[in-house]
Amino acid sequence: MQSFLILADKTHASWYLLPLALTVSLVYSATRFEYPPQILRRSARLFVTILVSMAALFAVLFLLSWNL
Amino acid sequence: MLDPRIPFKNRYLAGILAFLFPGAGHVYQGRYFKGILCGTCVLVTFFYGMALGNWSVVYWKKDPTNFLNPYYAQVFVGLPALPSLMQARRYESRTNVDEISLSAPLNAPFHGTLRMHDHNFGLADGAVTGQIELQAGTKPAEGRVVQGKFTGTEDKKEITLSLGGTPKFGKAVSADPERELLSVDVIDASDPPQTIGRLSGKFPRKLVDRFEAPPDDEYYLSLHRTLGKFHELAMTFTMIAGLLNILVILDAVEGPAYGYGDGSDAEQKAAASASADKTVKAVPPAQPPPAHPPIAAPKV
Repeated sequence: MQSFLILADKTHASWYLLPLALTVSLVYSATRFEYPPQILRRSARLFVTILVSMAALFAVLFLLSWNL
Repeated sequence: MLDPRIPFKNRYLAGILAFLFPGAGHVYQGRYFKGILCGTCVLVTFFYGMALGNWSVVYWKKDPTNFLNPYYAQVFVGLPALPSLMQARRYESRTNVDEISLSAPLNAPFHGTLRMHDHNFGLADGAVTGQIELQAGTKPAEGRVVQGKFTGTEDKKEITLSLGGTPKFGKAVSADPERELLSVDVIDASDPPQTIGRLSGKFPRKLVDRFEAPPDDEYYLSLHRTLGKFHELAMTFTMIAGLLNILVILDAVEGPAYGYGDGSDAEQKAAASASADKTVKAVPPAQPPPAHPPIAAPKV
């Protein structure tokens, strides 16, 4: 347990977005569609959309905080 | 309107099953892919969050001043989050206070501090680590409520202490993985035994007494100190798991929002064009015109 927490402590919190975005996109798509290949295709698309949106938001905030 | 192609069976029962155990409603309906996918995602997110928060971020604690209690979201994970309600009752029970008796024999790892009243026994004050054994005393009426021993080390020096008297334990039920032994007497070998020091420290709490139990204020603050932002992250994981399971429950009861792929307009057009292509391809190739039979010459 301690080693697990130490590992968590060394990982930047932003990396936790990846598994979270993955599960959200999978479950969200699974509740929108019924056909399994379509669920996977749409969840992949949603996953990429979330990541791109977050990256864009990060870029905007990074630029706004430039030299602060 | 329900899609007749989806086997809902008893959809309300499916909804209850989906609430109790994520994905179970879909499995009951025979929608195994979605059941396993949703169940895995929700449960992995929930338990990963719990592990990230040192198994101390899911609990029910009534707080009239806080309308945004995280448990309102966490509870939708169902059975994995429901023990919190029982643990909250146990935590707030009048019997969950500091104790001066031993309910069952104790044999556990222990760490704490030793304070000696009498330094003639070759023992000094300091931190100790080792194993503690306590059991009910022979003469509780005379103050010998417990008897036992501690074996371990103090500053790398092997020590064995005889314990007795009336111990004082902290609360039995709390989220803290360690329970406090506020004090127990260190006694000598005389009869009746004399108190020569005092031992205090912590030993592991039973899982049933800490799992999803509310934390004390002191432990809550120490958790924040230890985990920092990961405490919020752990809370977020467990809350998102609960919120995702709401979608899963609705899907088990009402079916998916777009069903079999007739979602967006673009997708409809794509599906329509794909089916049109297939139709064109399905048309058999044109046959050559049949050869005209030779015209027979009229008989004269």
